[in-house]
Amino acid sequence: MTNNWESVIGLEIHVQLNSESKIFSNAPTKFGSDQNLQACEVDLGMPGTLPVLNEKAIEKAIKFGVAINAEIAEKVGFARKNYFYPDLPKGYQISQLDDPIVGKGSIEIQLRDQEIKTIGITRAHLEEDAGKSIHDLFENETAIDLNRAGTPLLEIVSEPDMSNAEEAVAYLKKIHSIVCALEISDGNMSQGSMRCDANVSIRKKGDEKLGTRTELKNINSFKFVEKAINFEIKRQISCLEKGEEIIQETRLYDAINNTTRSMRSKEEANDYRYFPEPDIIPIQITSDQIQRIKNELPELPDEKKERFINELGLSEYDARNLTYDLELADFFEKTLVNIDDPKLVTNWILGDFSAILNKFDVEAKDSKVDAVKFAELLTYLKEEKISGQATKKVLENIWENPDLSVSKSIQDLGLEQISDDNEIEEIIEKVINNNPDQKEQFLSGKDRLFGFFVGQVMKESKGKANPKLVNEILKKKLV
Amino acid sequence: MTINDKTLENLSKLSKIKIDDNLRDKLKEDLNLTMNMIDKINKIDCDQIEELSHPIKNNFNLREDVVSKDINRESLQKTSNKTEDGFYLVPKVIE
Repeated sequence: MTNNWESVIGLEIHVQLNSESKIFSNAPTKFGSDQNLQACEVDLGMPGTLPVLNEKAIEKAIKFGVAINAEIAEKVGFARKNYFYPDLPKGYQISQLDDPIVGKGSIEIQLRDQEIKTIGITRAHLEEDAGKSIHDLFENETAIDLNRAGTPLLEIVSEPDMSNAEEAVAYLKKIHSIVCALEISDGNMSQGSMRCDANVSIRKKGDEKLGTRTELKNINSFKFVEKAINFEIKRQISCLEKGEEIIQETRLYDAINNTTRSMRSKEEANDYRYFPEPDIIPIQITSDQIQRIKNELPELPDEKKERFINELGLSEYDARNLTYDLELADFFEKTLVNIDDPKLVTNWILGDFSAILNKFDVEAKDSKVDAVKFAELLTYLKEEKISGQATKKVLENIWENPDLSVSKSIQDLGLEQISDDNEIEEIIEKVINNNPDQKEQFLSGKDRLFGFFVGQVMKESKGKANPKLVNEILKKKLV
Repeated sequence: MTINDKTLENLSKLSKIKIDDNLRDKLKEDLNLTMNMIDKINKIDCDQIEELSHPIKNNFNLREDVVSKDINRESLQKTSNKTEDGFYLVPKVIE
Protein backbone atom coordinates (compact mmCIF):
# COMPACT_ATOMS: atom_id res chain seq x y z
CA MET A 1 0.00 0.00 0.00
CA THR A 2 1.54 3.29 -1.02
CA ASN A 3 1.59 6.44 0.97
CA ASN A 4 0.02 8.74 -1.62
CA TRP A 5 -3.44 8.69 -0.10
CA GLU A 6 -5.15 10.66 2.60
CA SER A 7 -8.41 9.88 4.31
CA VAL A 8 -11.20 12.32 5.12
CA ILE A 9 -13.61 11.49 7.93
CA GLY A 10 -16.80 13.06 9.27
CA LEU A 11 -18.91 11.70 12.13
CA GLU A 12 -22.61 11.73 12.86
CA ILE A 13 -23.17 11.13 16.55
CA HIS A 14 -26.58 10.28 17.99
CA VAL A 15 -26.88 11.24 21.64
CA GLN A 16 -29.90 10.10 23.65
CA LEU A 17 -30.97 13.00 25.84
CA ASN A 18 -31.67 12.02 29.44
CA SER A 19 -35.11 13.52 29.87
CA GLU A 20 -37.55 11.65 32.10
CA SER A 21 -40.22 11.41 29.42
CA LYS A 22 -40.05 11.01 25.66
CA ILE A 23 -39.62 13.85 23.21
CA PHE A 24 -43.24 13.88 22.00
CA SER A 25 -45.10 11.85 24.63
CA ASN A 26 -45.20 11.44 28.40
CA ALA A 27 -44.06 7.80 28.37
CA PRO A 28 -40.91 7.09 30.42
CA THR A 29 -37.48 6.79 28.80
CA LYS A 30 -35.82 4.50 31.35
CA PHE A 31 -33.53 1.84 29.89
CA GLY A 32 -34.11 -1.87 30.39
CA SER A 33 -37.78 -2.11 31.25
CA ASP A 34 -39.82 -5.07 30.03
CA GLN A 35 -40.69 -4.89 26.32
CA ASN A 36 -43.31 -2.37 25.25
CA LEU A 37 -44.17 -1.28 28.78
CA GLN A 38 -42.84 2.19 27.97
CA ALA A 39 -44.53 2.65 24.61
CA CYS A 40 -47.73 4.69 24.83
CA GLU A 41 -50.33 5.50 22.16
CA VAL A 42 -48.26 8.37 20.76
CA ASP A 43 -45.10 6.25 20.48
CA LEU A 44 -47.13 3.52 18.79
CA GLY A 45 -48.47 5.98 16.20
CA MET A 46 -52.09 5.27 17.07
CA PRO A 47 -54.60 7.23 14.97
CA GLY A 48 -55.79 10.39 16.64
CA THR A 49 -52.74 10.93 18.80
CA LEU A 50 -50.65 14.08 18.50
CA PRO A 51 -47.06 14.78 19.43
CA VAL A 52 -46.39 17.48 22.06
CA LEU A 53 -42.80 18.64 22.34
CA ASN A 54 -40.92 18.13 25.62
CA GLU A 55 -39.46 21.45 26.84
CA LYS A 56 -36.46 19.65 28.38
CA ALA A 57 -35.41 18.27 24.99
CA ILE A 58 -35.22 21.83 23.67
CA GLU A 59 -33.33 23.02 26.71
CA LYS A 60 -30.77 20.21 26.61
CA ALA A 61 -30.12 20.78 22.91
CA ILE A 62 -29.58 24.50 23.50
CA LYS A 63 -27.19 23.63 26.34
CA PHE A 64 -25.07 21.62 23.94
CA GLY A 65 -25.15 24.39 21.35
CA VAL A 66 -24.08 27.02 23.86
CA ALA A 67 -21.26 24.77 25.11
CA ILE A 68 -19.74 24.45 21.64
CA ASN A 69 -20.20 28.16 20.86
CA ALA A 70 -22.67 27.40 18.12
CA GLU A 71 -25.42 29.55 16.69
CA ILE A 72 -28.78 28.69 18.24
CA ALA A 73 -31.74 28.91 15.88
CA GLU A 74 -34.39 31.51 16.61
CA LYS A 75 -36.99 29.31 15.00
CA VAL A 76 -36.97 25.57 15.59
CA GLY A 77 -39.11 23.60 13.19
CA PHE A 78 -39.64 19.88 12.74
CA ALA A 79 -39.96 17.77 9.61
CA ARG A 80 -41.19 14.32 8.75
CA LYS A 81 -38.62 11.89 7.43
CA ASN A 82 -40.57 9.12 5.76
CA TYR A 83 -39.36 5.56 5.62
CA PHE A 84 -40.88 2.18 6.11
CA TYR A 85 -39.62 -0.10 8.83
CA PRO A 86 -41.52 -2.06 11.47
CA ASP A 87 -39.75 -0.40 14.42
CA LEU A 88 -41.05 2.99 13.23
CA PRO A 89 -44.80 2.58 13.66
CA LYS A 90 -45.86 5.97 12.29
CA GLY A 91 -44.06 5.35 8.99
CA TYR A 92 -42.08 8.53 9.55
CA GLN A 93 -39.58 9.86 12.02
CA ILE A 94 -40.11 13.36 13.37
CA SER A 95 -36.75 15.04 12.79
CA GLN A 96 -35.41 18.41 11.70
CA LEU A 97 -34.29 19.40 8.23
CA ASP A 98 -34.09 23.12 7.47
CA ASP A 99 -34.24 24.61 10.93
CA PRO A 100 -31.87 22.61 13.15
CA ILE A 101 -31.82 23.87 16.71
CA VAL A 102 -28.00 24.08 16.78
CA GLY A 103 -26.07 25.62 13.90
CA LYS A 104 -22.36 25.85 13.15
CA GLY A 105 -19.94 25.43 16.05
CA SER A 106 -16.61 23.80 16.80
CA ILE A 107 -14.60 21.93 19.41
CA GLU A 108 -10.89 21.39 19.93
CA ILE A 109 -9.27 18.00 20.16
CA GLN A 110 -5.76 17.11 21.23
CA LEU A 111 -3.70 14.70 19.20
CA ARG A 112 -1.05 12.34 20.50
CA ASP A 113 1.79 14.73 19.66
CA GLN A 114 0.14 17.45 21.77
CA GLU A 115 -1.04 19.25 18.65
CA ILE A 116 -4.48 20.89 18.97
CA LYS A 117 -6.92 20.59 16.09
CA THR A 118 -10.25 22.34 15.66
CA ILE A 119 -13.09 20.19 14.37
CA GLY A 120 -16.08 21.97 12.89
CA ILE A 121 -19.61 20.98 13.81
CA THR A 122 -22.04 21.54 10.96
CA ARG A 123 -25.23 21.27 12.96
CA ALA A 124 -27.03 19.37 15.68
CA HIS A 125 -30.71 18.60 15.42
CA LEU A 126 -33.43 17.02 17.52
CA GLU A 127 -35.28 13.89 16.51
CA GLU A 128 -37.00 10.86 17.96
CA ASP A 129 -35.35 7.46 18.30
CA ALA A 130 -36.89 4.38 16.69
CA GLY A 131 -37.81 1.12 18.43
CA LYS A 132 -35.79 -2.08 18.32
CA SER A 133 -36.21 -5.02 15.96
CA ILE A 134 -35.04 -8.35 17.28
CA HIS A 135 -34.55 -10.86 14.50
CA ASP A 136 -33.30 -13.94 16.32
CA LEU A 137 -35.93 -14.38 19.02
CA PHE A 138 -38.66 -16.04 16.97
CA GLU A 139 -38.16 -18.39 14.07
CA ASN A 140 -40.45 -16.87 11.47
CA GLU A 141 -41.10 -13.42 12.85
CA THR A 142 -39.26 -10.30 13.85
CA ALA A 143 -40.05 -9.14 17.40
CA ILE A 144 -40.60 -5.42 17.92
CA ASP A 145 -39.93 -3.61 21.18
CA LEU A 146 -41.00 0.02 21.02
CA ASN A 147 -39.75 1.11 24.44
CA ARG A 148 -37.00 3.16 22.79
CA ALA A 149 -39.36 4.72 20.22
CA GLY A 150 -39.68 8.43 20.88
CA THR A 151 -36.60 8.78 23.10
CA PRO A 152 -35.14 12.22 22.37
CA LEU A 153 -32.01 12.20 20.25
CA LEU A 154 -29.59 14.97 19.43
CA GLU A 155 -27.82 14.17 16.16
CA ILE A 156 -24.48 15.97 16.03
CA VAL A 157 -23.02 16.24 12.53
CA SER A 158 -19.35 17.14 12.13
CA GLU A 159 -17.57 18.69 9.19
CA PRO A 160 -15.27 16.27 7.31
CA ASP A 161 -12.37 17.68 9.33
CA MET A 162 -10.77 14.50 10.63
CA SER A 163 -7.99 12.79 8.73
CA ASN A 164 -7.53 9.51 10.58
CA ALA A 165 -9.14 7.13 13.04
CA GLU A 166 -7.20 8.58 15.98
CA GLU A 167 -8.68 12.03 15.38
CA ALA A 168 -12.16 10.54 15.03
CA VAL A 169 -11.79 8.80 18.40
CA ALA A 170 -10.47 11.97 20.04
CA TYR A 171 -13.44 13.90 18.63
CA LEU A 172 -15.95 11.29 19.81
CA LYS A 173 -14.37 11.26 23.28
CA LYS A 174 -14.53 15.04 23.43
CA ILE A 175 -18.22 15.10 22.50
CA HIS A 176 -18.76 12.36 25.07
CA SER A 177 -17.06 14.37 27.82
CA ILE A 178 -19.04 17.50 26.90
CA VAL A 179 -22.47 15.82 26.95
CA CYS A 180 -21.57 14.11 30.25
CA ALA A 181 -20.36 17.38 31.80
CA LEU A 182 -23.57 19.09 30.68
CA GLU A 183 -25.53 16.16 32.11
CA ILE A 184 -27.72 16.09 29.01
CA SER A 185 -27.05 12.37 28.42
CA ASP A 186 -25.67 9.48 30.44
CA GLY A 187 -23.28 8.85 27.54
CA ASN A 188 -23.49 5.10 28.03
CA MET A 189 -22.28 3.69 24.72
CA SER A 190 -22.88 0.04 25.55
CA GLN A 191 -26.56 0.80 26.22
CA GLY A 192 -26.79 2.81 23.01
CA SER A 193 -27.08 6.24 24.66
CA MET A 194 -24.39 7.40 22.26
CA ARG A 195 -24.08 5.90 18.77
CA CYS A 196 -21.94 6.88 15.87
CA ASP A 197 -21.90 6.68 12.07
CA ALA A 198 -18.70 7.54 10.20
CA ASN A 199 -18.39 8.95 6.68
CA VAL A 200 -15.07 7.89 5.20
CA SER A 201 -13.48 8.83 1.88
CA ILE A 202 -10.01 8.66 0.35
CA ARG A 203 -8.26 11.07 -2.00
CA LYS A 204 -4.79 11.54 -3.48
CA LYS A 205 -2.61 13.66 -1.21
CA GLY A 206 -2.96 17.31 -2.21
CA ASP A 207 -6.26 16.83 -4.04
CA GLU A 208 -8.87 19.46 -3.27
CA LYS A 209 -11.84 17.40 -4.30
CA LEU A 210 -13.26 14.85 -1.86
CA GLY A 211 -13.37 11.22 -2.95
CA THR A 212 -16.55 9.14 -3.01
CA ARG A 213 -17.57 8.37 0.54
CA THR A 214 -19.06 5.40 2.30
CA GLU A 215 -21.09 5.62 5.46
CA LEU A 216 -20.26 3.18 8.26
CA LYS A 217 -23.13 2.31 10.56
CA ASN A 218 -23.49 0.44 13.79
CA ILE A 219 -20.45 1.60 15.70
CA ASN A 220 -21.01 1.55 19.44
CA SER A 221 -17.69 1.89 21.21
CA PHE A 222 -14.56 4.05 21.05
CA LYS A 223 -12.56 0.97 20.16
CA PHE A 224 -14.85 0.01 17.28
CA VAL A 225 -14.77 3.53 15.81
CA GLU A 226 -11.04 3.22 15.44
CA LYS A 227 -11.16 -0.32 14.08
CA ALA A 228 -14.05 0.29 11.67
CA ILE A 229 -12.47 3.43 10.20
CA ASN A 230 -9.03 1.85 9.87
CA PHE A 231 -10.53 -1.17 8.14
CA GLU A 232 -12.55 1.01 5.76
CA ILE A 233 -9.55 3.24 4.90
CA LYS A 234 -7.50 0.15 4.01
CA ARG A 235 -10.35 -1.32 1.99
CA GLN A 236 -10.86 1.85 -0.02
CA ILE A 237 -7.15 2.36 -0.70
CA SER A 238 -6.77 -1.21 -1.85
CA CYS A 239 -9.80 -0.75 -4.17
CA LEU A 240 -8.37 2.46 -5.62
CA GLU A 241 -4.94 0.93 -6.11
CA LYS A 242 -6.50 -1.94 -8.03
CA GLY A 243 -8.12 0.66 -10.25
CA GLU A 244 -11.60 -0.03 -8.90
CA GLU A 245 -14.12 2.67 -8.15
CA ILE A 246 -15.50 3.37 -4.68
CA ILE A 247 -19.27 2.99 -4.64
CA GLN A 248 -21.22 5.46 -2.55
CA GLU A 249 -23.01 3.19 -0.11
CA THR A 250 -23.89 2.44 3.47
CA ARG A 251 -21.73 -0.23 5.07
CA LEU A 252 -22.31 -2.09 8.27
CA TYR A 253 -19.43 -2.59 10.70
CA ASP A 254 -19.13 -6.16 11.88
CA ALA A 255 -17.27 -6.07 15.19
CA ILE A 256 -16.90 -9.82 15.47
CA ASN A 257 -15.01 -10.22 12.20
CA ASN A 258 -13.57 -6.65 12.16
CA THR A 259 -14.84 -5.97 8.67
CA THR A 260 -17.38 -3.79 6.91
CA ARG A 261 -19.96 -5.05 4.48
CA SER A 262 -22.31 -3.37 2.06
CA MET A 263 -25.78 -2.62 3.39
CA ARG A 264 -27.31 -0.57 0.60
CA SER A 265 -26.00 1.47 -2.30
CA LYS A 266 -27.02 4.97 -3.30
CA GLU A 267 -29.37 3.70 -6.00
CA GLU A 268 -31.32 1.85 -3.37
CA ALA A 269 -30.99 4.72 -0.92
CA ASN A 270 -34.22 5.91 0.61
CA ASP A 271 -35.98 8.91 -0.70
CA TYR A 272 -37.16 10.29 2.61
CA ARG A 273 -39.65 12.76 1.15
CA TYR A 274 -39.11 15.25 3.94
CA PHE A 275 -41.84 17.77 4.54
CA PRO A 276 -42.67 20.15 7.41
CA GLU A 277 -44.29 18.35 10.35
CA PRO A 278 -47.83 19.68 10.35
CA ASP A 279 -48.55 18.55 13.91
CA ILE A 280 -45.86 20.67 15.55
CA ILE A 281 -45.85 24.42 15.29
CA PRO A 282 -42.29 25.78 15.05
CA ILE A 283 -41.16 27.21 18.35
CA GLN A 284 -39.32 30.46 18.92
CA ILE A 285 -36.17 30.53 21.02
CA THR A 286 -35.58 33.85 22.75
CA SER A 287 -32.20 35.39 23.51
CA ASP A 288 -33.25 35.52 27.18
CA GLN A 289 -33.68 31.77 27.21
CA ILE A 290 -30.26 31.26 25.62
CA GLN A 291 -28.66 33.68 28.09
CA ARG A 292 -30.25 31.92 31.04
CA ILE A 293 -28.92 28.55 29.87
CA LYS A 294 -25.51 30.10 29.27
CA ASN A 295 -25.42 31.42 32.82
CA GLU A 296 -26.31 28.02 34.23
CA LEU A 297 -23.67 26.06 32.27
CA PRO A 298 -21.58 23.78 34.48
CA GLU A 299 -17.79 23.68 34.23
CA LEU A 300 -16.89 22.21 30.83
CA PRO A 301 -14.00 19.77 30.29
CA ASP A 302 -11.79 22.46 28.74
CA GLU A 303 -12.43 24.83 31.65
CA LYS A 304 -11.73 22.06 34.14
CA LYS A 305 -8.51 21.33 32.29
CA GLU A 306 -7.43 24.98 32.51
CA ARG A 307 -8.21 25.03 36.22
CA PHE A 308 -6.15 21.88 36.79
CA ILE A 309 -3.23 23.51 34.97
CA ASN A 310 -3.47 26.97 36.53
CA GLU A 311 -4.57 26.17 40.04
CA LEU A 312 -3.13 22.71 40.64
CA GLY A 313 0.02 23.00 38.54
CA LEU A 314 -0.64 19.94 36.38
CA SER A 315 0.94 19.59 32.96
CA GLU A 316 -1.26 20.18 29.91
CA TYR A 317 -0.92 16.48 29.06
CA ASP A 318 -2.01 15.21 32.49
CA ALA A 319 -4.82 17.75 32.79
CA ARG A 320 -6.22 16.74 29.42
CA ASN A 321 -6.04 13.03 30.16
CA LEU A 322 -7.77 13.53 33.50
CA THR A 323 -10.59 15.59 31.99
CA TYR A 324 -11.32 13.23 29.10
CA ASP A 325 -13.13 11.05 31.60
CA LEU A 326 -15.09 13.27 33.95
CA GLU A 327 -15.63 10.50 36.46
CA LEU A 328 -11.88 10.14 36.70
CA ALA A 329 -11.54 13.92 37.12
CA ASP A 330 -14.18 13.76 39.84
CA PHE A 331 -12.35 10.94 41.63
CA PHE A 332 -9.15 12.98 41.36
CA GLU A 333 -10.74 16.00 43.02
CA LYS A 334 -12.33 13.89 45.75
CA THR A 335 -8.94 12.31 46.48
CA LEU A 336 -7.32 15.74 46.73
CA VAL A 337 -9.65 16.62 49.60
CA ASN A 338 -7.59 14.31 51.82
CA ILE A 339 -4.12 14.58 50.33
CA ASP A 340 -2.71 17.82 49.02
CA ASP A 341 -0.38 16.55 46.34
CA PRO A 342 -1.96 16.95 42.88
CA LYS A 343 1.04 15.65 40.98
CA LEU A 344 1.34 12.45 43.02
CA VAL A 345 -2.43 11.82 42.86
CA THR A 346 -2.44 12.46 39.09
CA ASN A 347 0.37 9.99 38.48
CA TRP A 348 -1.38 7.27 40.42
CA ILE A 349 -4.82 7.95 38.96
CA LEU A 350 -3.60 7.97 35.36
CA GLY A 351 -1.28 5.05 36.06
CA ASP A 352 -2.11 2.17 38.35
CA PHE A 353 -5.62 3.30 39.28
CA SER A 354 -6.69 3.57 35.62
CA ALA A 355 -5.03 0.24 34.93
CA ILE A 356 -7.04 -1.49 37.64
CA LEU A 357 -10.29 0.17 36.41
CA ASN A 358 -9.54 -1.12 32.91
CA LYS A 359 -8.64 -4.54 34.18
CA PHE A 360 -11.99 -4.96 35.90
CA ASP A 361 -13.87 -2.87 33.33
CA VAL A 362 -15.26 -0.53 35.98
CA GLU A 363 -15.96 3.21 35.82
CA ALA A 364 -14.22 5.45 38.34
CA LYS A 365 -17.51 6.17 40.14
CA ASP A 366 -17.95 2.44 40.81
CA SER A 367 -14.39 1.95 42.03
CA LYS A 368 -14.01 -0.68 44.76
CA VAL A 369 -11.54 1.68 46.44
CA ASP A 370 -13.18 5.02 47.21
CA ALA A 371 -11.44 8.38 47.06
CA VAL A 372 -10.99 8.56 50.85
CA LYS A 373 -9.26 5.21 51.03
CA PHE A 374 -7.21 6.01 47.95
CA ALA A 375 -6.01 9.25 49.55
CA GLU A 376 -5.10 7.32 52.70
CA LEU A 377 -3.06 4.86 50.66
CA LEU A 378 -1.20 7.63 48.86
CA THR A 379 -0.52 9.34 52.17
CA TYR A 380 1.36 6.23 53.33
CA LEU A 381 3.43 6.50 50.16
CA LYS A 382 3.99 10.24 50.49
CA GLU A 383 5.15 9.85 54.08
CA GLU A 384 7.49 7.10 52.93
CA LYS A 385 5.87 4.49 55.10
CA ILE A 386 5.53 2.22 52.09
CA SER A 387 7.33 2.08 48.75
CA GLY A 388 5.79 2.66 45.32
CA GLN A 389 5.91 -1.04 44.60
CA ALA A 390 4.19 -1.77 47.89
CA THR A 391 1.53 0.87 47.16
CA LYS A 392 0.64 -0.99 44.00
CA LYS A 393 0.30 -4.27 45.87
CA VAL A 394 -1.86 -2.71 48.57
CA LEU A 395 -4.08 -1.06 45.95
CA GLU A 396 -4.74 -4.46 44.38
CA ASN A 397 -5.25 -6.02 47.78
CA ILE A 398 -7.81 -3.48 49.03
CA TRP A 399 -9.55 -3.56 45.64
CA GLU A 400 -10.07 -7.29 45.94
CA ASN A 401 -10.98 -7.06 49.63
CA PRO A 402 -13.18 -3.97 49.98
CA ASP A 403 -13.61 -4.49 53.73
CA LEU A 404 -9.89 -4.38 54.38
CA SER A 405 -8.44 -1.12 55.70
CA VAL A 406 -5.27 0.30 54.22
CA SER A 407 -3.25 -0.19 57.40
CA LYS A 408 -4.48 -3.77 57.85
CA SER A 409 -3.59 -4.56 54.23
CA ILE A 410 -0.07 -3.18 54.67
CA GLN A 411 0.28 -5.25 57.81
CA ASP A 412 -1.12 -8.42 56.22
CA LEU A 413 1.18 -8.13 53.25
CA GLY A 414 4.15 -7.23 55.47
CA LEU A 415 4.92 -4.17 53.41
CA GLU A 416 5.76 -1.51 55.98
CA GLN A 417 8.73 0.32 54.63
CA ILE A 418 12.05 -0.23 56.39
CA SER A 419 13.24 3.22 57.38
CA ASP A 420 15.54 2.06 60.10
CA ASP A 421 19.14 3.08 59.23
CA ASN A 422 20.71 0.13 60.99
CA GLU A 423 18.48 -2.42 59.36
CA ILE A 424 19.15 -0.95 55.91
CA GLU A 425 22.86 -0.77 56.58
CA GLU A 426 22.84 -4.44 57.42
CA ILE A 427 21.18 -5.36 54.13
CA ILE A 428 23.54 -3.12 52.19
CA GLU A 429 26.60 -4.68 53.76
CA LYS A 430 25.31 -8.11 52.94
CA VAL A 431 24.73 -7.16 49.30
CA ILE A 432 28.18 -5.55 48.96
CA ASN A 433 29.88 -8.59 50.49
CA ASN A 434 28.03 -10.91 48.14
CA ASN A 435 29.14 -8.95 45.07
CA PRO A 436 32.86 -8.17 45.43
CA ASP A 437 33.50 -8.12 41.65
CA GLN A 438 30.81 -5.48 41.06
CA LYS A 439 32.18 -3.43 43.94
CA GLU A 440 35.65 -3.43 42.42
CA GLN A 441 34.31 -2.46 38.98
CA PHE A 442 32.28 0.33 40.55
CA LEU A 443 35.29 1.68 42.39
CA SER A 444 37.34 1.63 39.20
CA GLY A 445 34.84 4.00 37.60
CA LYS A 446 31.87 1.97 36.36
CA ASP A 447 29.26 4.35 37.85
CA ARG A 448 26.38 2.59 36.23
CA LEU A 449 26.74 -0.26 38.71
CA PHE A 450 25.26 1.93 41.43
CA GLY A 451 21.83 1.07 40.07
CA PHE A 452 22.70 -2.60 40.26
CA PHE A 453 23.39 -2.30 43.98
CA VAL A 454 20.17 -0.36 44.61
CA GLY A 455 18.25 -3.07 42.78
CA GLN A 456 19.90 -5.85 44.79
CA VAL A 457 19.19 -4.09 48.09
CA MET A 458 15.54 -3.57 47.15
CA LYS A 459 15.29 -7.21 46.14
CA GLU A 460 16.92 -8.36 49.37
CA SER A 461 14.46 -6.23 51.40
CA LYS A 462 11.53 -7.55 49.33
CA GLY A 463 10.82 -4.01 48.11
CA LYS A 464 10.39 -2.72 51.63
CA ALA A 465 13.56 -0.64 52.07
CA ASN A 466 13.09 3.11 51.85
CA PRO A 467 14.72 3.90 48.48
CA LYS A 468 15.88 7.36 49.59
CA LEU A 469 17.75 5.93 52.57
CA VAL A 470 19.13 3.10 50.47
CA ASN A 471 20.61 5.65 48.09
CA GLU A 472 22.13 7.73 50.87
CA ILE A 473 23.65 4.85 52.79
CA LEU A 474 24.81 3.02 49.70
CA LYS A 475 26.71 6.12 48.57
CA LYS A 476 28.60 6.19 51.87
CA LYS A 477 29.26 2.45 51.96
CA LEU A 478 30.53 2.11 48.44
CA VAL A 479 33.30 4.70 48.75
CA MET B 1 -41.57 16.72 -14.44
CA THR B 2 -43.37 13.92 -16.26
CA ILE B 3 -44.36 10.62 -14.78
CA ASN B 4 -42.95 7.82 -16.95
CA ASP B 5 -42.77 4.09 -16.31
CA LYS B 6 -39.61 4.47 -14.31
CA THR B 7 -40.97 7.11 -11.93
CA LEU B 8 -44.19 5.13 -11.54
CA GLU B 9 -42.14 2.09 -10.60
CA ASN B 10 -40.20 4.13 -8.05
CA LEU B 11 -43.42 5.54 -6.57
CA SER B 12 -44.80 2.05 -6.28
CA LYS B 13 -41.68 0.94 -4.47
CA LEU B 14 -41.64 3.91 -2.09
CA SER B 15 -45.30 3.68 -1.23
CA LYS B 16 -45.21 -0.13 -0.99
CA ILE B 17 -48.25 -0.25 -3.27
CA LYS B 18 -48.30 -2.82 -6.04
CA ILE B 19 -49.71 -1.39 -9.26
CA ASP B 20 -51.82 -3.59 -11.53
CA ASP B 21 -50.52 -3.65 -15.08
CA ASN B 22 -53.90 -2.68 -16.57
CA LEU B 23 -54.02 0.38 -14.33
CA ARG B 24 -50.60 1.73 -15.25
CA ASP B 25 -51.58 3.93 -18.19
CA LYS B 26 -54.57 5.42 -16.39
CA LEU B 27 -52.44 6.13 -13.31
CA LYS B 28 -49.70 7.72 -15.38
CA GLU B 29 -52.28 9.97 -17.03
CA ASP B 30 -53.79 11.00 -13.67
CA LEU B 31 -50.44 11.63 -12.07
CA ASN B 32 -49.31 13.71 -15.03
CA LEU B 33 -52.41 15.85 -14.70
CA THR B 34 -51.50 16.37 -11.04
CA MET B 35 -47.92 17.19 -12.01
CA ASN B 36 -49.22 19.75 -14.51
CA MET B 37 -51.10 21.48 -11.76
CA ILE B 38 -48.00 21.45 -9.54
CA ASP B 39 -46.01 22.93 -12.40
CA LYS B 40 -48.56 25.75 -12.59
CA ILE B 41 -48.27 26.36 -8.84
CA ASN B 42 -44.49 26.34 -9.12
CA LYS B 43 -44.66 29.19 -11.64
CA ILE B 44 -46.22 31.54 -9.10
CA ASP B 45 -43.66 34.01 -7.80
CA CYS B 46 -43.77 33.75 -4.01
CA ASP B 47 -40.24 34.85 -3.16
CA GLN B 48 -41.52 37.73 -1.09
CA ILE B 49 -44.04 35.67 0.84
CA GLU B 50 -43.10 33.99 4.08
CA GLU B 51 -43.79 30.27 4.19
CA LEU B 52 -47.19 29.28 5.38
CA SER B 53 -46.73 25.70 6.49
CA HIS B 54 -47.29 27.04 9.99
CA PRO B 55 -48.83 30.49 9.98
CA ILE B 56 -49.16 30.63 13.76
CA LYS B 57 -46.26 31.59 15.99
CA ASN B 58 -46.33 30.61 19.62
CA ASN B 59 -44.43 28.77 22.30
CA PHE B 60 -47.34 27.57 24.32
CA ASN B 61 -47.48 24.03 23.05
CA LEU B 62 -44.44 22.73 24.92
CA ARG B 63 -44.87 19.96 27.46
CA GLU B 64 -43.35 19.72 30.93
CA ASP B 65 -40.96 16.77 31.25
CA VAL B 66 -43.28 14.64 33.35
CA VAL B 67 -43.94 10.91 33.03
CA SER B 68 -47.45 9.56 33.19
CA LYS B 69 -47.67 5.97 34.24
CA ASP B 70 -50.88 4.77 32.66
CA ILE B 71 -49.44 2.57 29.91
CA ASN B 72 -51.57 -0.52 29.59
CA ARG B 73 -49.65 -2.85 27.32
CA GLU B 74 -52.36 -5.47 27.22
CA SER B 75 -55.01 -3.05 26.08
CA LEU B 76 -52.68 -1.37 23.58
CA GLN B 77 -51.69 -4.71 22.08
CA LYS B 78 -55.31 -5.72 21.45
CA THR B 79 -55.23 -3.89 18.13
CA SER B 80 -52.12 -5.74 16.97
CA ASN B 81 -52.31 -8.71 14.61
CA LYS B 82 -49.83 -10.75 16.55
CA THR B 83 -48.08 -10.35 19.89
CA GLU B 84 -46.16 -12.71 22.10
CA ASP B 85 -44.40 -12.26 25.39
CA GLY B 86 -45.05 -8.51 25.22
CA PHE B 87 -43.48 -8.15 21.77
CA TYR B 88 -45.24 -7.05 18.61
CA LEU B 89 -44.56 -9.66 15.94
CA VAL B 90 -44.17 -8.86 12.26
CA PRO B 91 -43.14 -11.00 9.29
CA LYS B 92 -39.40 -11.65 9.42
CA VAL B 93 -37.44 -8.58 8.29
CA ILE B 94 -34.11 -9.62 6.88
CA GLU B 95 -31.44 -6.96 6.55
